[in-house]
Amino acid sequence: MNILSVSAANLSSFAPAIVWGCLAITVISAMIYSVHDKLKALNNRHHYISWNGDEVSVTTWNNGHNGVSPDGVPFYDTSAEGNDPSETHGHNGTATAA
Amino acid sequence: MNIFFELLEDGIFASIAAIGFASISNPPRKAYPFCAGIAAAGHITRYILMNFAGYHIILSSFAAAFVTGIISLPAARRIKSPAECISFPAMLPMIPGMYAYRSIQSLIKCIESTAEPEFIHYMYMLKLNWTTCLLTITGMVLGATLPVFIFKKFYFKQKA
Amino acid sequence: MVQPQQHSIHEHLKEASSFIGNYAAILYASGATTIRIEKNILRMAGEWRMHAEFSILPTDIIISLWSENKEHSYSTIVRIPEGAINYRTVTYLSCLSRRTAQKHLSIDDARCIMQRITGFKRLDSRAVLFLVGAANASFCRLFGGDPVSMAIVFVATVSGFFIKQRLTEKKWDYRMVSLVSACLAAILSSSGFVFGWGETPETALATSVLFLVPGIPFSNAVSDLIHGRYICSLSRFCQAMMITVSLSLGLCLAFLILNIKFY
Repeated sequence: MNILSVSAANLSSFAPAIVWGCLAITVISAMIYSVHDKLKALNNRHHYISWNGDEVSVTTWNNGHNGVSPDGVPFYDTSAEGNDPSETHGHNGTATAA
Repeated sequence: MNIFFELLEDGIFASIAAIGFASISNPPRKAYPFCAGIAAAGHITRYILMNFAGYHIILSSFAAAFVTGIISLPAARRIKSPAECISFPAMLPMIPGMYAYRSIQSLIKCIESTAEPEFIHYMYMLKLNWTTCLLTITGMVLGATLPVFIFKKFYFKQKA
Repeated sequence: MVQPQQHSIHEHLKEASSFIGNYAAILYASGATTIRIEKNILRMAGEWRMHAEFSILPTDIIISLWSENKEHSYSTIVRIPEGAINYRTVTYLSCLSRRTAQKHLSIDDARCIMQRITGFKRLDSRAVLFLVGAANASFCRLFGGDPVSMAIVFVATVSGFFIKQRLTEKKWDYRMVSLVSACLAAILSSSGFVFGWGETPETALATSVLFLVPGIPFSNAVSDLIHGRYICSLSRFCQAMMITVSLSLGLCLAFLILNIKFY
C-alpha cells in the first residue's frame, strides 16, 4: 500500500455543525460579495458603519505644556505652566518625574 | 466494447478537467479545444499503459506527456502560440497532486510517531510518495519538451 | 562632449533596454519559461541590431544592450512585478516578438502593442469558478468517485475557490490563502463521512483539494531545470512547494477539526 487512507471512526460530534457552518459562511460571503457595490453606496449615503482609521489625532497632555526628556520619556511639567517645552528639554539634562 | 467506453469516459473527464484547470491560467480562447483534445489523448494513453500494460505511473506519464508534446506542436503552430501554452495546461490532469500532499501528511505522521518502526514506516511513505511525485512531474515535462528538440526545424518555422 | 549621433544611439539603446526589461519582467510574472523569455529577447534585440546580455533572476531582470559596433551600451535592472499566471499574455507577447522580427516593428510600435496586451481582461471570475468546480468533480470521477461524491466535490471546490479568489483580492499572503481554501474545501467534502452521502467518501475527501495543487509552477520549475536555468528553477520550485505544504496543512487542519485520522 503506498497511499495514505483515512478513518472516520472517531468523527467529532460537532462535525455536522462545522460542515453546515462552513457552508453558511461561504454562502453569506457570496451574498455579501454579490451586493458589495450596492452596500458600499448605501453606506456612503447613510454612514451606517464608519471607519476612522485614516484620521490622525494629535495627542497632547497637560494643556499643551508637555515635554519629552532626553531619555525619550514624556513628562507632565506641572510646575512649569507657561514654560516653553523646548526649554525644559534642552536645558535640563535629567528627566523630571511625572 | 466495454474497454472502448472506459477509454471514452476517461478521455471526456480528462478533457473537462483540463479545460477547468487551464482556465485558472487564462490561456487564449482558441487554445481551449486543443487543450481538451490533447489532455484526453494524453490521459487515455496513460490509462492504457497503467491499467492494461501494467507500467508504473512514472513511465506511463512520460509516454503520455510525449504524446501530448507531439500533438501540441501542430496545434501550437495553428493558433500561433508557444507549445508549452497548450501542453502544460493539457498535462494538468496528470499532475500527481495526491502524492504531493500525502508526502507532507507522511512527514507530519513521522513527527507524531513515538516508536521507531512507526517512524520508519512513515519515512518510507514520505520518500515513496515524494520521489514518485517528483519523478512523475520531471518525466512529464521531459516528455512534453522532447518533441520540441526532435522536431526543432518544424517548431521554429512558425509564421507570425 | 557627446556628439548628436552618439546621443541618438544612446537614447535608442536606453529606450530598447527599458522596453525589453519590462517585456521580460511581464513575461516572467505571467508564467513563461526562462528559455522562452530568452529566445524572445534575443529575437527582438537582433531585429533592432543590438547585442543583448542579460540575466534572468527570480526577482529581477538585468539587461545590458550593446550597439551593433559594440561601442555603446546601456544596462537596466527591472523588478519582476507580482502577477498571476496568464498564458494569454505569454502567447501574445511571444507573437509580438515574432512580429517585431518579421514586420520590422520599431520600439514605439512594440511598446504600444505591449501596453494593449497587458490591458486585456482575464476570463470572468464566475466562469473560472464554475469551470474549476467541474474540473475537480471530473477529477473525482477519474479517481473512481461516484456521482454523489462528484457533487460533493463540486460544491466543496466552488466554495474553496471562491474564498481563494476573495482572499487574493484582499491581498492576503498566498500561503495563508491556500491553507484557508484547502481547510474549507476539505471540511465541506467530508460530508460524505459526516452525513453518509455517497459510496466513495474517501475519494471525495482526497480529491477536494487538488484544485490548489500548483501544476504550472512545478512544470515551469522542471522546464527551467532541463534548460540549465537552475536559480529560476529552484525559485519556482520553492514557491510551488510553499503552496503544496500550505494546502497539506490546510487538509491536516480540517482533519484535526473533524477528528478524522489518517494513516
